[in-house]
Amino acid sequence: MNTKILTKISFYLLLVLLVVSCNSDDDETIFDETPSKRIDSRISELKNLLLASSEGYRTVYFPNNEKYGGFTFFMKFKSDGTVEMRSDVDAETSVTTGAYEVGLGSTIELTFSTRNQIHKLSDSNIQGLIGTGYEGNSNFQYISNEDGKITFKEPRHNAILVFEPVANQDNWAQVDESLAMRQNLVPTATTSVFQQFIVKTPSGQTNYNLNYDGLRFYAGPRNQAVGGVVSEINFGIAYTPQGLIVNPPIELDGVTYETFTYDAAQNIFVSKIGDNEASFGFNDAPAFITDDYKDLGSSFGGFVYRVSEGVNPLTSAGFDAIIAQVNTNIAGFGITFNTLEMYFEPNASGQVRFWINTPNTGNIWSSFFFELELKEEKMFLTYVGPGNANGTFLEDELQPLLDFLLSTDGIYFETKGSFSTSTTSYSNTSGTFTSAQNPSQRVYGFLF
Amino acid sequence: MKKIIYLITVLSCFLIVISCNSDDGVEASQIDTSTPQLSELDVWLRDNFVKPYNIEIQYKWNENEVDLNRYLYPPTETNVKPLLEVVLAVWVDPYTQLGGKDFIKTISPRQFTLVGGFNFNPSGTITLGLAEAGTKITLFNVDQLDLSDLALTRRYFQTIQHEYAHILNQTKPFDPAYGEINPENYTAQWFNRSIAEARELGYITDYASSSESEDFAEMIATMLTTSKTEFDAIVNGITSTEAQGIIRQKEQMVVSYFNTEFGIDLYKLQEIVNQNTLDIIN
Repeated sequence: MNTKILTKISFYLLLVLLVVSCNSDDDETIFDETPSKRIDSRISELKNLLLASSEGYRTVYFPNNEKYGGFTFFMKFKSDGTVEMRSDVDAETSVTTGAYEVGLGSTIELTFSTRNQIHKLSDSNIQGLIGTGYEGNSNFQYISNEDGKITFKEPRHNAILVFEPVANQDNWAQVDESLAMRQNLVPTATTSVFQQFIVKTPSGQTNYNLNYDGLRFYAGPRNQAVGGVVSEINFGIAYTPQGLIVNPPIELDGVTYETFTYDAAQNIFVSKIGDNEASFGFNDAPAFITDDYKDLGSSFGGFVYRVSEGVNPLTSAGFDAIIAQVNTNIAGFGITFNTLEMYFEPNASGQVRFWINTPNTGNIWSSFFFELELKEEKMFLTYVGPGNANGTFLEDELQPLLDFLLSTDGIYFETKGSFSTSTTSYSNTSGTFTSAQNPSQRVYGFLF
Repeated sequence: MKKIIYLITVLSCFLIVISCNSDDGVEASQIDTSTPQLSELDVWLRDNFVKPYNIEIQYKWNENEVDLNRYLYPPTETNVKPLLEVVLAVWVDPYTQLGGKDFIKTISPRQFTLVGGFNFNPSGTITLGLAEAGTKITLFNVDQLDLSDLALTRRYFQTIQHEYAHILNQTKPFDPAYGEINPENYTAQWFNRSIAEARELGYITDYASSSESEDFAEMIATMLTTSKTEFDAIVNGITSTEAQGIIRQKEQMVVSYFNTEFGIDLYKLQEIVNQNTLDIIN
């Protein structure tokens, strides 16, 4: 009996379902036009938009914000299929002209179809970036238009580009200003070798070493708290006439920093958000000092800097200037500076002896005695006097180098992995010594 | 039963007839088929490559035509025509002169893709050109070409001669005996060898020591980017007499391949290509 009722109910239910499922919804119109017409109209929409701004567009393109900074482009599209461009990618900022096309790729795309400024970012032949360049692209997918601002997406690295209409062609000259702004983070012979990223909040201050890469325009600030906890932020930099913008934006404790203004008086870039402030630039000291200095005289018996072993950018222009001065002083004797050797283990009278080689055809070694003290997380040297006849003879000429070693504020020491220069690599650990009195002076060499 | 079949037949006929009820006629295509905007260069390309030889020159950027893993860019528009004029002079004209006016039209790549920048391989080497399936040649470094520099220009056009040799081989295979002359030193790590080292082993260039097909193409390309005197000087400059003999043997095989398969005197071709190249540089 029960089965019969159930069967009946099921039957009617099925019937009802069958009937309602046949409910037609075919007459609902989702699109008014055929796909090909819609594609065509979207193509003309973008073409018209590109021509709409008579003075052109400005955009900042970060080709890959996990590796590189960004660049500013000004573009003026013309109805004959050409586009004029200026950019701050390199020193050749003048206007170039190439072709562009709007068409259907994986979606509606803008393609810069013959060479122009933007292709400097996909040039694989940039020294230091061989094979990749800045990983730029030539085609950009059209996403949206908002009050004349056109948004594109670059398909390889998902970079977002916003083309903003420019009011006046005079603005195009901004590429020279943003290019000049770049120089404010480039080390010179007189700037400190230390660059810090500093965040100030109502609850305190945190200092990071900036770790800025001037080729990639990329920074990876690192902070090492007392407990040994390392935190790292990464961002690309695009320079502007007023300062710079970072991408991805920096998010710290719920505060987002994106636009930084250059403060010429302090030579730093600053971003203020309410009571919070982030800034970066040159500083007199590193953000944190490692325990490496404790190994001087124990794990490391000595250090060698030898000019003939090639160049490493960790030897600063400020230190090169010291060597240049020494060479001028000793030029009259027909000799040039080649080697500085430091030995950190004291002799019986508690002194250490450093050697300087200024060869002509043969080696000419001068030696000097110091008292060495490790304190305040630095190395302090006190001069005792020359250690041999050459030392006595050349003491005055070598004074610039002795002054570096006798920094009244001590010398920072840090290890830097295995030794490598433009021409040489050793498995020895390398290290740097930086004058705390004049932090533009830093020397890189190997330890043993 | 017959009635049922009859009914079904009538019903089917009826259905077929009403299904033919007229719809709207076929309208014009909705796809935009109008001629794209042609620049002066585009017109020149149509007149000099598309019409006479059925070769498409692709100088505008199309990401689907290149390796997506490489960072490349399109050539500067003004560099395209000077390059192609040289292509005509050192490749199309000499072959046409000796092989007949339809030679290039019959056996040729259907498409040239031009790329402005360097194509770096993971090994650090640079690829100057690529031939794919005998139908397409991609030329890189178009923006770096300096037509006043003989060595550079020759190195560049060695790419075209080399890739075209592959296309000829794909049409008429060469004698497999060629690959048995000295196969022992073919290596995929050819780039670790200098050109001089390769020559002492009996290969005309370092790249020739990578495989027999590259060896064959390099022999042709080297002969077509040197004069006979220069080529002889290269061979006579090799220290190993055994290597000299090997290269002379390969030279004979390449010459006879051109003669039997295409009726072309390779030495005559070498002379014309060389003369045309010198005319351009000067």
